[in-house]
This record gives sequence, structure tokens and C-alpha cells, in this order.
Amino acid sequence: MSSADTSVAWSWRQASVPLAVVGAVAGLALVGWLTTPEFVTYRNVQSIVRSAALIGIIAVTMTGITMAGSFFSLSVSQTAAMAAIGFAAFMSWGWPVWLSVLVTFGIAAAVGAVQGGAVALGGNPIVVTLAVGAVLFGTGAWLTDNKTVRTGTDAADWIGTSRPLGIPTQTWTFILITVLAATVLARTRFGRELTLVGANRLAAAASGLRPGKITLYVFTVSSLGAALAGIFTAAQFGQGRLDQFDGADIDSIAAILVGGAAIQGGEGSALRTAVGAVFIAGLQNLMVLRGFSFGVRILFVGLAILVSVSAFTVLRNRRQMT
Amino acid sequence: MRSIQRVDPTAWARLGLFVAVFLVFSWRDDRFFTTNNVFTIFEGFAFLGLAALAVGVTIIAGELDLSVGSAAAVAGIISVSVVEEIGLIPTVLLATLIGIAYGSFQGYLIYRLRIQSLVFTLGTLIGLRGLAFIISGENTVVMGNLEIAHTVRRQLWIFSPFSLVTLACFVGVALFLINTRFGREIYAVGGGRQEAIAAGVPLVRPLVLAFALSGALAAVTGALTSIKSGSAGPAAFETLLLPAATAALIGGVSLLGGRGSVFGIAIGALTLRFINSGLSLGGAPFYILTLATGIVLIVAVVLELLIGRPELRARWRRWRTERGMGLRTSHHPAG
Amino acid sequence: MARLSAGTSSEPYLRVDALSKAFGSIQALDRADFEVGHGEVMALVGENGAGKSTLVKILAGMYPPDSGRIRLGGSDVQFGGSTQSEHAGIAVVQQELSLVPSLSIADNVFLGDTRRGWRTRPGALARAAAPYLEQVGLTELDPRVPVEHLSVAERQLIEVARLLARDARVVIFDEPTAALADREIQRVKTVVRSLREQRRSIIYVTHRLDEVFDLADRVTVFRDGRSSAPTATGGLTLDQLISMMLGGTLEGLFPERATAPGTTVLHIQNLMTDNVTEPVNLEVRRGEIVGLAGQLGSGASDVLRAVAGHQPRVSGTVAVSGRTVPPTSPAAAIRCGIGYSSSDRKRDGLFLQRSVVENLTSPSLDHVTTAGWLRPRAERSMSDRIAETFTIDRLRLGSVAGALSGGNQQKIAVGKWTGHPLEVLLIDEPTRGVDVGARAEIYRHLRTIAEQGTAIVIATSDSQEILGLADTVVAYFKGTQVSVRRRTDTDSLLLTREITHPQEAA
Repeated sequence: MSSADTSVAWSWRQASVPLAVVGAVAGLALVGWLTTPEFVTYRNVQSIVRSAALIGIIAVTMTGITMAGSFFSLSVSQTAAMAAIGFAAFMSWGWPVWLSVLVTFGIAAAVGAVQGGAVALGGNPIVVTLAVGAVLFGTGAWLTDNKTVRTGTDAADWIGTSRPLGIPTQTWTFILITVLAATVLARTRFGRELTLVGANRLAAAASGLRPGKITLYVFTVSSLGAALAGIFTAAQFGQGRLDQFDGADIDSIAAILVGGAAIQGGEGSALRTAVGAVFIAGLQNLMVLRGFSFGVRILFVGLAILVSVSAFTVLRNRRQMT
Repeated sequence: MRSIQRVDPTAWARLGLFVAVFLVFSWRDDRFFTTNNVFTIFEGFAFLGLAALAVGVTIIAGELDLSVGSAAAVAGIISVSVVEEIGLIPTVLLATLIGIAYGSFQGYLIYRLRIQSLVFTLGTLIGLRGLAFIISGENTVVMGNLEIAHTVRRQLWIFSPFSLVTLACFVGVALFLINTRFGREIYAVGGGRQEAIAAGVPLVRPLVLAFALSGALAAVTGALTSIKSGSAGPAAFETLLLPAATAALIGGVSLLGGRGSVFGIAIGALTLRFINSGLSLGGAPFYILTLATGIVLIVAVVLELLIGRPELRARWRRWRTERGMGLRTSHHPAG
Repeated sequence: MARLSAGTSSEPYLRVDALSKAFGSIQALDRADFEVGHGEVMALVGENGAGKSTLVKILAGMYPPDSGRIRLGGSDVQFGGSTQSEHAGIAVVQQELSLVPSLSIADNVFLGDTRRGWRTRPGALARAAAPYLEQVGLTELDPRVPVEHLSVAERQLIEVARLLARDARVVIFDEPTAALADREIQRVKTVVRSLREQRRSIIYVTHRLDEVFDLADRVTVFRDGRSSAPTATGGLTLDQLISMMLGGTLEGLFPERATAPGTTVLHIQNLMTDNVTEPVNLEVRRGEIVGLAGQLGSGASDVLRAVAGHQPRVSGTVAVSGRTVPPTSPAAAIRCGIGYSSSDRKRDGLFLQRSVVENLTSPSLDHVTTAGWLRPRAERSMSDRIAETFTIDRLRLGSVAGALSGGNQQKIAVGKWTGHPLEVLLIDEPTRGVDVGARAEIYRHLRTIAEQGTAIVIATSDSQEILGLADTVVAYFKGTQVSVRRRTDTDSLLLTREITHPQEAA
């Protein structure tokens, strides 16, 4: 086999993961179109993207953690809930919107940095974030007496309810953050360093890159993304509640995995994660339209994750061998 | 004979923590040490201990089973549905068998696909939760005859059939892990996977066994807890992972794999149980227990970072001396 | 497989005939013969890449041979895997140990032993392990202690105890003393002698020639995949053995030497670090290639690692063009113009799942970014330039590094340092796992980089490589710098002596 041949062969294999993701979405759209006429309509697609928006924002901002080789964060649902509660509380104290947003982000950044620091020092990301999630939940419940916190004002409603050009702010933000994250990951030094740190932490350190710093940043960014989702929810409903984001961490991890990010790091894309979030929302939507029960829907999401991660692992293992 | 400590030095710290927690709460509250309260602690231990053992075994094997909560929920629903027809003991045996079958299959796939257990068990975590909703018809399944529930939680001095079964599971798993080659292999692939394979350990066996154990223990947890309460909800055990992992980790199970003991897990589960019982007796609401568990887990992680890993300790020392020297030479030349 | 009856004829216990094995274009073994008798210690020596480790791995059942015959106790055997080889009674004491650190000594002695029952009561296991530990001289240890508390030598002996527990008839030692101190080496030697007394067959692979004369009855020399006839050590001199190892020179493999080197760039003063027992002083000039020669564990690699910030310095200073290099991290060394390519490129040299371009620009991100934004065109031209210098196929720049051959991967691991201005390039084992064609290319490229004004230091256990490439040759033995000589003042005989057996060379 000549070298030109092999290079073509390799590029096909390298494209296998993105192709699989695109194929899955196309397959879902096709099945939906064939079985359920109302599935592929502008209105429905818009509602799918909208329902994917908040999980999508959390998932896209968490993609950095996965790509940098620190698996996931299990504290994003509590971070989002804390942000919602905090924002609602600040608003109810009569703070201006900008200050409430700023302080909420500030707290979230600190919470993220603490976790990133612990992981950078060698803590297991799963356990660190599990623990911090529990502490956030406990603290939040303790401070609020486990009650709903209302903003008591409509000053911030526009954040959660306005629809510029007929599209909700959440959807706009989801799209913007995806574009931003995709650009940062693919076109900036930070994105490159992050990818290389995830691909091989030792080689990255040997090349003069700073794995610790990157780890700190990715957890901070993820925390900020979760806080953004929290602010949106608090602004939309005028209240923050601790259980508002139950299951958001699992859902966003599912989006990342369906999007084909390599669990051991060094590979992934914000765009594919966003597609993963939309895929899961679309799957849910289709199943609702088909009248599937709640349990069946969860089961299928679980199966989608199992099938996709198994397929991606097998594809990657085959590519690494030979 | 050269004297080298056979026991991990941090074990004493863990035992000390256990005794300290016990003393603090028994001293602060005189109700703490009554037969009834000790019984309650053991009931809680039965629930938490089994789950901690399930998670702990997979961590010892160098893996992590996130799906224990969902597996327990499915087992609980099945058990509550069939217990009145086939009786208590057959039900528990059935749940155990289902857990073993599920766990072995999961372990085999993880071995075969060379996939990270973290990712795979996340999929089963979600999938089994869906299954729990499906088989329960999205409703809590209730037993008509509460006689059986009473059997499980009947108080025998400080024990109940539930906590006795738990103790039996602990003894059984301990004997298996210590006294059989298969148990030692679980430690081996966790403590040094490449080395163990080089020594001739077939990776598939310890992986399948570890996940089978985890599945069986999760199933027993779900079955007995649900039967005891007379009902099983599809959303039950959702937050099981946090206390289970915490108990295992403060019991000395290392996330690096290959380290930890059944006895340690028991101590860890009891410690956490004491903290929770002590706080509940003091009137603390449930979220304070979550907060306490989270703090205990953070302390455990930090301790493991500082004590369990000599190279990190060395780095810490180096960092401190560098800083110390920097201060002396550049900022405080006189002193 | 049935237990083989021992000593049925005059035939040696283990005999290998015309064994061949190729990896891609590299002929690792070329119709090699080998034998070892009952109660015999057969030394196996040769330069790196001569085929020793391939033979060991085939005997251990890890590779199947392409052709040839293995006879054990008078009958033909074929190993489909390591378990079968083990059941046939062949066992290897590996360089990379196969002990699980967190498990007890007794657990490790019986780990993976399929012939033992399933019961492992700790007390009983400890009692069962005791006689084997006694045989290897570890009587002072409690078998229930975790292995992680033991020294490297003790671990090695426990590996031997494991082989005894499995009743191995053929015991292969693969460079057992490379990482050991003198006193510990004595323990290993004692064990080898006692195994010989038990009429076991011992294959002793080593780079330390003093051990050959000390321990072995006969010696087989491997060179370029071929074997010499076994020679009794009694009638052999050290010089004869060395010349058997070296053979003819490799014409055309090495480039022409450069013009006179320039000013001194790298100053190393009184450097002490792990595995180095005497302070190291060294100066390297622009355009010069300095070769640190030494076997595994000699300290040569440690000097490079310490200079590059990959391992802590105990004392001493390093300066590049008068600028002190802080000992803190690789990043600090890189900022001072130091590049370092380790001996294990897969571990910390390459991003296997990322593209060649991303690998090549990874240490030079500052030079391909503006205000934090990557400049794809700058990246492309930088990697094109490196690819041209190092003759990497430009069509492959977009492929993942893991898909390339070992030679190309090594070119990436070294070439990536030339993307930005480089003062000093340190390379540990420049051509490990690289075929002859790519070796010649890498040597030529290194000379080119040197001529452009970079100071190059290589560390290698291959004396051919040092003599062919280096302008200045520094010999290391067990943590000390034995000599610093100009290339013209040394030869292969002298150098090989200095790095294997310096007492006699002095």
C-alpha cells in the first residue's frame, strides 16, 4: 500500500467519530420523519432546540473538562440550583440586575476554581465534584431552609422570557455559547493547550504547557456555564429552588458522551456536544410525540448512551491499533 | 525479622475518627447509647454498608460502578412485586441472582469493549432507572401484606434480620476477598493492572467478579430496604452513590485501586452512620446530613491526597521549603 | 502440557534452532541459534537491538517466531501464549517488574499461578511462600508485608521466588542488575548460583560484562539478529568478548562530522540528582554533539532529565548562555532554550491521538499565536519546515501521530523542538525502536541542527551510536562520570570497557 493510500484510509478512520454523530442525528430525523409527521417541522425543531438549550449550555461548557482529561463534573446541577437561588435572593434584596448577575457568576467561578484546584492537585474529579455538589446542596438548603426563593420583582424577567427575532434568549445563548466554545477550542491557544493536556498530560507538561492551570480553568468555565443556566431559570420563573436542576448533570454528561468526546480526554468538540444535547432532546421529543411512557424514554436515553459510548470506544480502539 | 508495618498507617487514623465520632455523639446525647438507638444505627448501617461494599469492591478493582442506585431500585421493585407470592427468602435469592447476572454481564462488556467503567455504568445508571419506571408503571409499588415487612425489621436486641443479613454479607465478602485466589486477583488488577496481567492474571475474571459482587450487593440492598419499608418507588436510591462512596473512601478504600478492606468499609459506613444519627438526634434536617456527608467526603479526599500519596507529600514539602527559603533570602534577609 | 522429563540425552535442555522474527522492515532475529544446558548459566550479550530481547520474548511466549524450532528437554515445543510457556517451565525475571505493589509478598509469589488451588488463607499462603523466599535469601522479611515497602533488589528476588514457586526449569534474567547498587547485585548473583546448583537452566541477559565472567559458564553473543556459537567463558578475554559484540562498523550510517564547534552554551556545574553518585560537570559548545554513554541505570539519562527540569536536582547549577536554568519545571527549561526528548516517546513525548501538526507545534505555541489566537498558516509553515528538515512525509501532517511508524514518531518527538530557536537539545536514546533507514536519517538531521548552532547532548547505551555521532564522548558507570574524551581519543574497545567494566579500563 502506498503512503498516499494509507493517508486516505487514515483520514476516513479519523473522521469516523464525527460521521457517527452526524449519522445518528440523520437517523433520528429520518425515523422521526417517516413515523411522525409533526416531528420535522420548523415549530417542533425550534421547540426541541429550546428544550435542549439549558442542558446544552451546561454540557457545552462542561466539554472542556472532558477534553482536558478530567472526565466530568457531578456538581453542575447543584451549582445551577445555587446560582438560581442566589440570583433570586439578590434580586429580592433589591440589587440591580447587573450586580446580581455579577455576584452570582463570581461565586460560581470561586466554586469552580476550588474544584479545579483540587483536581489539579491530584484529586479524583468524580469524587471531588460529588463531594462539592453535596456541600453546595446542603449549604443551599441550610441557607434557604429548603424553601423556594422568589425574586419578588419582574426586573429580571426579560432575561428568561424575551424572544428576540422570535427565538427565546435561552436558545440564542445556547447557540452563541456553542459557537464561542467551538471557536475557543479550535482556534485559540487555550483550546489547543486544553486538548493537548487531555491527550497526554505528561507530554503536555514536557512541552512546557501547564496542566494544572488548564484544569483550574475548565472547572471554572463549567461552573460559570451552570450558573448561567441557573440565572436563566430564576429569571424565567421568578424563583430559585434547590431541586430545579435535578438530573441536569447526568443529562449534560449524556450529551457530551453522545457527542463523541473521548472520555480519556484529548478529543471532542463543543459543536458535537451541542448536537448531542439536541439529539437527546429530539429523541425525548419524538418519544413524547409517539406517546412513550416516562420510563421507556429514560431507558432509551440510557441505551443511546450505552450504544454511542461503546461504538466510539470500539472505533477509537481500532484506530489506535494497527 | 525486619519490622515493616503490615497495616496501612492511616488505618489507625480511621479507627480513631470512628471512636471519636462515637464518643462525641454518645457523650452529647444520652439517648445515643440506648439499645433502641444502637438498633437504629445498625439498621442504617445495613442499608449504607451494603451499598458502600458494592461501590467499594469495584473501586478496589480499579473501576467504579455508578449504577448501584438504579440497580437497587430495580431490585426493590421486583422484590416488592413478588415477595408476597414466593416468600421472603426466595425473593432475596432471586434479587441476588438477578444482581449477579446483571453485574457479570456489565463486567464482561467493560472487559470486552475495553471501555471505561465510569462511562459504561453511567449508561446503565440511566437505563436501569428507566427500567425501574417501566416495571413499576411509574408508580410506587406497595405490598398488601405488611407482615413480611415486619419480619425483616423485627428487633432482635440491637439487630434485625436485615442487619444480620448485612453482617453475613460483610463476612462472606471479606472471606472471599481475603481467602480466595479470585478475591486476591480483584486486588491485583486494581493495584497494578499491567503487573497483574504480566504475572498471568486473566483480567476478565476479576472484572466480572467485582461487578457481579457489586450488582448482587446493590440488589440485596434494594430488595431488603424496599421490603422492609413495604414499598418501592421507581425514583428510589437516586442519591445512594454519595453516601456509599463516602463510606467506602473514609473506610480506607483508595481511588487508585487495590487498597482497602471489608473491615475498613464497615468502619467507614458505621462512622458515617454515627455522624448522621447523631445529627438527626440533634434535630438536624436531612440536608444537613447531606452537607455533613459532603464535608466528610472532602476531608477524606484531602487526606488521601496528603497522606496516601508520598510523592504528593514530597511535592508539598518541597513547595513549602521553596517558599520558606524564598521568604528568608529575598524578603527577610536578616531573619 | 505434561511435565518434561529432564536430561534424557546429551542434548542441552533448551535448544533454539534457526529462529527468525521480523517486525515490519526490521529483521530482529535472523536464523539465530541458542542453547542452555542443565545447571548451566548461559550469558546472553549484545548491543541494543541485537535481538536479545526478541529471543527472550519468544521464549516467554509473548511473540510467535516467524520460523525456526524450539526444543525443550528433547521435544519440540510451540508456545501459543505466555501461560503455555510458563507451563513448559520457562519463566522470565523482567526488567519491568510484574509485582503488584499493594499486595503482600506471599500474594505476589503465588499471583497468577494457575496450578495452585483457589484458597489463599493469608497465614497458609505466608507459610507456603516462606521456603521460596528462603531460597532467594529473603529470610528476614515477613511474607505478609506489602511489596511496595521493599527495595528494587528485593522485588527482583521476589520475582525469582515466584518462578521457583512455579518450578521453572529455565529461568531468564533480563538485565537484572541494571537498576541495582553493588551490594544488592551480590544478592542476585548468589541466587543465580544457587539456582545453578539446583540444576536449573539459567539464561542471563546483561550489559555488564564483568558479570559474564563472574557468573556464566558460557556466553552467546547476538549481533544484528544473528548469534555466535556459545563460547566457554574460561578461555575468553574481555577484549575478545567486546570485539565479538561490536563486529564491523556500520558504514554510511553516520553523517560527516562538522567544522570546529563555537562558544560554550550549556554549563553544568556540580550537578547531583537521583542515581548520580558524584557531582557532574560538563560544558557543551555550539555545533557540538556530546554523547553520554552508559547502560541503563548508569546515570546518563538522569543527568539529561535533571537539566531539562524533569527530575529534581539535589544540588548544582545549570546555565544556558550564561542564564541560570531554574530547576522547577520543564517549562522553565524550555524558556531558557532547552529541548528534551525522553527515551519513552509514548509516555511523555507524543500526543498519539492528535495530528502530527499539533505535535510539532506543541512546544512552540507562543510562536504560532497572536494574542491567544492560533495562526493556522504559521502552524502550517512551522510544521512544513520541520517536516522538511526531518523528512517527514507532508501528506501525513494531518494524520494522528499514533498512526505513524516508530521512526517517524521519533522524528516528531525530536523535531518538535526545532520549531522555535533552540539553544540546547537533549535526547535520551535518539533511535530506540527505529529501523536502520530512519536511524541514518535521524543522525543526519541531528548533525544539521548542530551545524545551525545548537548544542546537542544525547544519552544512549549504544556505543556505536555514540562513536558514530558524538564529537565528545562522556562515559558513565553506576552513577559516576568515568571519563570525558574527544571522539578522536577513544575507540569502541575503550568506550565499551568504560561503560561496562571501568575497573579494568583504568
